[in-house]
Amino acid sequence: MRYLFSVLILLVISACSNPKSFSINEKPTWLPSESKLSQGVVSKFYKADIRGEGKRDAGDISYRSYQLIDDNLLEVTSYNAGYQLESKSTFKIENQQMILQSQLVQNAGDTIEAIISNSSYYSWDPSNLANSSITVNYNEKAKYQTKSQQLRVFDIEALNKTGVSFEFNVSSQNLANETSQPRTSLVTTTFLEGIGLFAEEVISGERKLQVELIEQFSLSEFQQRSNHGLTRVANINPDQKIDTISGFSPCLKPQRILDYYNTTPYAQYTGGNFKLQEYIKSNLDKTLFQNESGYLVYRFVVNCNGKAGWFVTEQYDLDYQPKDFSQDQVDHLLKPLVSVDSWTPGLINGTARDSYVYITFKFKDGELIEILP
Amino acid sequence: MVSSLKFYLNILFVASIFLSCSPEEEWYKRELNSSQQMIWADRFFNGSGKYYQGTVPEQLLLAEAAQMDPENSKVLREQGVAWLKRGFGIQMHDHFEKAIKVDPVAWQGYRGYNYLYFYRDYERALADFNALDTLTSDTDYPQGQSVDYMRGLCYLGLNNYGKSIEYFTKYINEVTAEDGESWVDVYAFLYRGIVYAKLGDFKNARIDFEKGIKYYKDLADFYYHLAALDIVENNKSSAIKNVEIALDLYEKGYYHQRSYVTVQEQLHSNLINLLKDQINQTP
Repeated sequence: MRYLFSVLILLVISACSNPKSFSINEKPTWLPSESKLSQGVVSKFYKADIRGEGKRDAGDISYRSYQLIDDNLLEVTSYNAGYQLESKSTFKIENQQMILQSQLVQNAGDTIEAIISNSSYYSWDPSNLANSSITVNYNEKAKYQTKSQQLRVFDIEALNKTGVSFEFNVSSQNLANETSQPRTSLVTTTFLEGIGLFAEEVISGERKLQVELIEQFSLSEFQQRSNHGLTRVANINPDQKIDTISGFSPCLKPQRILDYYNTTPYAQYTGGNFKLQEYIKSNLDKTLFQNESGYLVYRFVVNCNGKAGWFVTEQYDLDYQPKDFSQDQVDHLLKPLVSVDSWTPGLINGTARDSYVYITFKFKDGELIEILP
Repeated sequence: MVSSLKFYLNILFVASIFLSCSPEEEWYKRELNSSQQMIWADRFFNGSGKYYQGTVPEQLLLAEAAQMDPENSKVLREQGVAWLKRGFGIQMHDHFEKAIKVDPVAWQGYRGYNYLYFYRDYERALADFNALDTLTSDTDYPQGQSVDYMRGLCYLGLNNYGKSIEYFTKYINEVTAEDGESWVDVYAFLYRGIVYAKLGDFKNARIDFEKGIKYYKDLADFYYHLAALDIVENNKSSAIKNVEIALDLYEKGYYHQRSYVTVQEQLHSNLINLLKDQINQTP
């Protein structure tokens, strides 16, 4: 019993101490609290793109997590509205400055490490303002350099809290394009005591981007929220395929599979819908579909080599309510789709690409009345 | 018993320490009033185009917009579009139903358009077009297409050729009276001509195909159907000429087609070649 009690006391002691203490010197007050930073804090922002006279304003959502990691580094990670990673930066705080140590940027499933030429990101020493230069080489056509020159730093008050605002001149230029001109903007970033980044305003000509903090929560809460289970509409999980085709795979990463309607010409049965209809109708066993009505949809991938695979189905009745076609029916119409080697891949600028395709068989009172779309 | 009591008291004591030393974290949360929420919902709808349709961030951005303003029918409709384009009838139907409940004038005809082109669901398309008629006084043009023109297509799909001609004619006459014949969608002439031909009214069919050529001389479909009429009317030389033009234009991509879907009576090279063979076999 005493042993158990001692263990509990030890647990209490460990619980009352932070797992990582913030030993960075000169820790600014306008970041989230030490305990929040140790555990990880996430800020949710609404972003308004104010486009000027006569144009519709647009909005977006983003998330930014702050966490103290080993070696007294502050890790700041950005996510888009879908909780998808966009960038990860680490900062060291010293001499009243936040110094950018590293930055990783996500692009189309790849991670790109930014080249940091000047690393002074924020300075709250008015006599030594920040100056940063970061280059991200996305591809041979897009190599963006962003230079930021801090203009001033000043104290502010909001929500009965003290804070600080930083003002910058920022210019961004595509170095891979010789004709590209730098795009400049005036950026004002505001942090509040115990909260961190509270607001940001980016003015570029008539256009203004306003970022507003809407909510904060723990990193663990963020992880729960990001576990939403959503996928891209019409994503196909190959583990759920109904065909027995072996060795099929898309030519590129699954994230890069296009929808058929993004290609020109579309990925399709070689010879088009007309030829497919002829083929299906001449091989259809009508006895299997007696009195049947509804939509039987086969979704699949046609890869860049014109091979089809990853077949799955959607099934619904003529009132757009779920229904189940029999296994025999599903197999019967699947057979010609998987057995023919007659798919033409969709093209993008003349290059064959992987694409999602679907074919719908519409039955009414036992008759195959349409093959769609 | 006493020992057990002490144990539980200890547990209670420890638990109280746990609770008292856990930092009382206050999390910032900004509350938006209803008008602010409506503004943001509209902004998110406008901004959703930044993301590719149907991606996770697009879905979640629209979901947040719908939560903030459940009466924003543009958002409710947009939530169904990716499903529509990718073959998911159930989800399409659910989302569009919600949008129509909020704003039937804006979306009833739009759904009819989609029933017609994506699902060839002529009965439901007609029901939507007819319902829209009861809500508005003018002829409606969901997705830029006259409901009368689309009703003509629906009745063509239902093999009700009399009604089909009636609605194509209504559309053609209305546009002609208001703006002039050159403003009529040439596909109305094409389809009415096809329907006339199905009814055996070759004279009016020819008038429509030739009128179509007057306004769009490079559409393979007109020449294909004229060649078919030529054969019926024993004009082989004209048939040969027209079918060759049809094939040439078809191969150049000049035939009636729409994004996403195969249109009704869509032309195909196989069809043209079959007709060509038939012409060649004609004495």
